[in-house]
Amino acid sequence: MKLAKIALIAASPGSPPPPDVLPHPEKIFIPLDGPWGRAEAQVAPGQTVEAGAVVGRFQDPRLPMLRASAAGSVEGIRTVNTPDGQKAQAVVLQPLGDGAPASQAPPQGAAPVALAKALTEAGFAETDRHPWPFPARICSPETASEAFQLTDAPFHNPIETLIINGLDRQPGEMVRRTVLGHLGSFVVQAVAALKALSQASRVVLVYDRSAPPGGELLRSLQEQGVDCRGLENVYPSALTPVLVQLVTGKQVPQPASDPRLVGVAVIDVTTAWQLGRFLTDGTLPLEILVQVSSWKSGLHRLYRVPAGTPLEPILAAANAAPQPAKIVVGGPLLGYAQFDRQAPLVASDFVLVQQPDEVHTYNYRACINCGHCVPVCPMKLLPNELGKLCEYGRFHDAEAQYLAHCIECGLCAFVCPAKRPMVQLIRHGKREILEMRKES
Amino acid sequence: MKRPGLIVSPSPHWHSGRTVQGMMVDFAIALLPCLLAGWYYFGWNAVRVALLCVVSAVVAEAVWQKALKRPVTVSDGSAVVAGLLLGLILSPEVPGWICVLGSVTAILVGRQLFGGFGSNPFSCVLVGYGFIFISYPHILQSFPMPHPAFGLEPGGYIEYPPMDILKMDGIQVIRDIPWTDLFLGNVPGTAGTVSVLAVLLGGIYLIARRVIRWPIPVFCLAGAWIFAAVCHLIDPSLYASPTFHVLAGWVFLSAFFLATEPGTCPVTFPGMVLYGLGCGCLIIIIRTWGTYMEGAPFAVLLMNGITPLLDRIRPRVIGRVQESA
Repeated sequence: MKLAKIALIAASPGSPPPPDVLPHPEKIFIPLDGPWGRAEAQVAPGQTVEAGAVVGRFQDPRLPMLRASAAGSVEGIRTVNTPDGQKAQAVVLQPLGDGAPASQAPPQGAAPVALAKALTEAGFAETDRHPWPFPARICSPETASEAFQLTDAPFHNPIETLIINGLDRQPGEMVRRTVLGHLGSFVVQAVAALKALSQASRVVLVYDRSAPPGGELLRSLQEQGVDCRGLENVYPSALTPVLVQLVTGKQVPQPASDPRLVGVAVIDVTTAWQLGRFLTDGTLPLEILVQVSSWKSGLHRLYRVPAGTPLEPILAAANAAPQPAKIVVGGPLLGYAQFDRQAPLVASDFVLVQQPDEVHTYNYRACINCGHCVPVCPMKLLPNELGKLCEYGRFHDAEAQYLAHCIECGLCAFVCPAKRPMVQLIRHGKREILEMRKES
Repeated sequence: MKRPGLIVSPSPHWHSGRTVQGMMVDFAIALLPCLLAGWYYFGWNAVRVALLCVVSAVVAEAVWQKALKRPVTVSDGSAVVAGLLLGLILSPEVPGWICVLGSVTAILVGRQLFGGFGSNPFSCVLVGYGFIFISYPHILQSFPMPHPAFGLEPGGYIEYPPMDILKMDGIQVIRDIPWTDLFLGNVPGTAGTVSVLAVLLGGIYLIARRVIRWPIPVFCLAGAWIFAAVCHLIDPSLYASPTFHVLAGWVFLSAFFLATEPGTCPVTFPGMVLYGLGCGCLIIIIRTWGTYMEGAPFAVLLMNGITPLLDRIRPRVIGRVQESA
């Protein structure tokens, strides 16, 4: 697979500094609404909870539990804005002191079914969107059927390759290389459990060739039978469908975008870090890594904060920009622009702060048909045509041209000389098609 | 204190910095060697024609957009490039009103009627050129002899552009034209088309800056050369040598500048290959069997018309699954 190489300015230094631990914020928000629907609150206002206490539970036991990332008193349940622009009910927690991170007895033994259930209860939250929660996603067919009663496609597919994704998702991001650089020993600890769960014949750790982790880490991973591969980090090679194709040569069927369909499972190295830590000393996966960057002032900071920390205290600690024009959670190419500084971060992420003269503005001029977007599309779509079809309301034609295959990497908009809002047009088209399906 | 609000927009929140203006600046820079070549061989007349075309193209676009109460897009520079390109394919001896007529037709009929830059199906420069060429062929076909400003001796082998010689005097005469003269541009012709060297410099710059993509020029040149070579192999006494065909006249300028106008050429790789080959072959076909001396303008216009068809050749989308029942 050949990716278009664009001069994406590497805004990050090669090896990142170790992440700082921030004091607990004044308030922590634990959203009950998320990609899996709404969880039922398990706490009442005024109640005091321990770190790691269950505050929300889904009706479906296969979905991860929501836990308090710090000890504190429950202030109430109210509506918050999540970083992806949705409204969500959230448990508001006032942390009491800077307590130790939440932990419980680590699961003993390596019986896959018990382990899978224990991991679900531990409540892992992930940065990337996946069709299924971790750990159901990485279970072998037998474990998936026994632990989660998942027997249909794609769960009847055995996992051939398990990829631990240590490639940073976007230019300027260094969350994953920080994990490999400073917290890698936990990743080693996770390998045995990942192998037991997935029964994968091959476990691959992918890292950025330009910022390789220490030789000791690679050696101990190789001793565990992990195939360590350094890839050139050309965006979007860290995105799941592209990564799977780069590593295994298999195309992930779209629009399902589930690598399990071709016998591959992908987990983020930050999840592997949390998993290794949980298995080592029982620390629950309630601490996340947040990178704050401002390219204008050359600032790159990494923090370890409790999950559910709102943006405001993290930005204040980083002192990124006193009056930012734009705050983007999720990075420059994939992220969401924030309107609420109280939006809580529940998984490791990259916060980019832009000052007024850095903000990119779109232009609503017509497509000039230059075709620059065509060679950069990793899915080999014709973004110029999709953009036009969505703009003129011809959604069925757009669908016939594989609109749903778009992974919204944003490269078409990045290179567009006419500065058209390509991703917005494509999302608009996808949304309209969904609405039409609902009506019919 | 109320803090200023935050800007919200869809992703991506970052842009490569590539703009239409930037592309047009690159085009203009790439055309500078041609303009210099025009000045070098034909003096200030060539520059006068080019400037007149640029000014009238810009004025035509501005007046039209003002009159229609549409946003005036003169600042993006597309009219400047269109005017410059037209000025370079006109003979340096044409009167001023021809320049104005050509530019106004190119901008209004060739581009604005379709909705502006990038929306025109046919190369607007060639629409303007085609109009004045068909209307006033005798004016457009009078070419000055080259008089290099310094260095070279004037190329004195022929009195007409090489393609006219081929058509009128036959294949015997053109064998005497040194290829270095064709390559450097020391022959009668127009500012933009005589010097292969100048076009090549500009073209390589455009490809290096990724303003145009390489398959169109490369396959256009290859198509022209291969087709001419096949003809030449069949009967060398009847058909000129392929290298002569490629070096003489409009082939290089068409390949790099005329066939690659945004909006008029295909965007997928197989489309671009076929389009380039088609342009190249048609140039030779029209030159050899057509009534016109130079086949390039109409070859490119014809291939522009096929572009929508070529755009239907799509790359295979990644992740497409065959539905199994």
